[in-house]
Amino acid sequence: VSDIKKKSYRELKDELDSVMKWFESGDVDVDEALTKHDEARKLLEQLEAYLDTTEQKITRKS
Amino acid sequence: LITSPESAAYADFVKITGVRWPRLKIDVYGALVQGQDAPAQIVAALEKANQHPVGYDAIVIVRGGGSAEDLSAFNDERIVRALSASRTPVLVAIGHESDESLAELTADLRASTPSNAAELLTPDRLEEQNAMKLQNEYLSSVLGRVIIEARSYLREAKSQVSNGIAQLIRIERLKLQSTREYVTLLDPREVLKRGYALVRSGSTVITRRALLTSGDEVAILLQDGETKAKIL
Repeated sequence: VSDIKKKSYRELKDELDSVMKWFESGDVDVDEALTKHDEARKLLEQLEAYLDTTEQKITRKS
Repeated sequence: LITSPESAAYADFVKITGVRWPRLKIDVYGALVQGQDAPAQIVAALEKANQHPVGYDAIVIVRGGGSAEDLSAFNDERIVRALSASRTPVLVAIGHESDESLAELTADLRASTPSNAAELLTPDRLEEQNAMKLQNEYLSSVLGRVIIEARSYLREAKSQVSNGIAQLIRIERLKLQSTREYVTLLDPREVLKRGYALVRSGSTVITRRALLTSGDEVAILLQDGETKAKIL
């Protein structure tokens, strides 16, 4: 949760993009693929949580 | 105010200005308003009023009605010259409307009677209050309208912003969803679930037969864990 607060949506998105680029590079090591895959899932969860929080904020205000 | 403080003209003037504009400050310069000594006293009063350190907004000379002889002081040349020389604007009301003196003709403004002089000099408090009340009501209604319009604009802007952000969030969610599906496909464990195995010799992933020779020990990674094997 603290990560979500510290990093902006854009920063999280940039991190996810770079992980996805790694997968597309072709020369993929299996062990690293596992790590990168977990990293990607974690980033996705954080990004979705970020959107949830933002949506709640908007709903509360309007 | 230059007049005889005992006169009815004085009383009328003070009474009417008092009703119309109570805060008006009046300094009275007493002078005879008829007879031989009147012109000199009026001239002296005019000069004195003009020398007032702060200065007046206006000098008023009033005298009530009377016979032509009673009013004749106001045709005196000295008064005419003093009026003409006055730096402060002078309002003169002598006798009734039909009476016309040289003093009145020389003055900056002529009033028909002392009461009329009071009316010309002061705004009416009640009229002014009514006018201000109307202005106040008008301003309130204008302001009310402006506030209503501003509120409606804000409501609309707020809803546009909310809708805009909600739309952005929807789009982002769709993008994330599609990335998530793609990430699932990239998970090597998903491949293992479909019956494939990963063969490693030490830290090297074996992707070709040529990398192995008979007797090599390898690790086989399956979906639920690793097992060892020896190449025949």
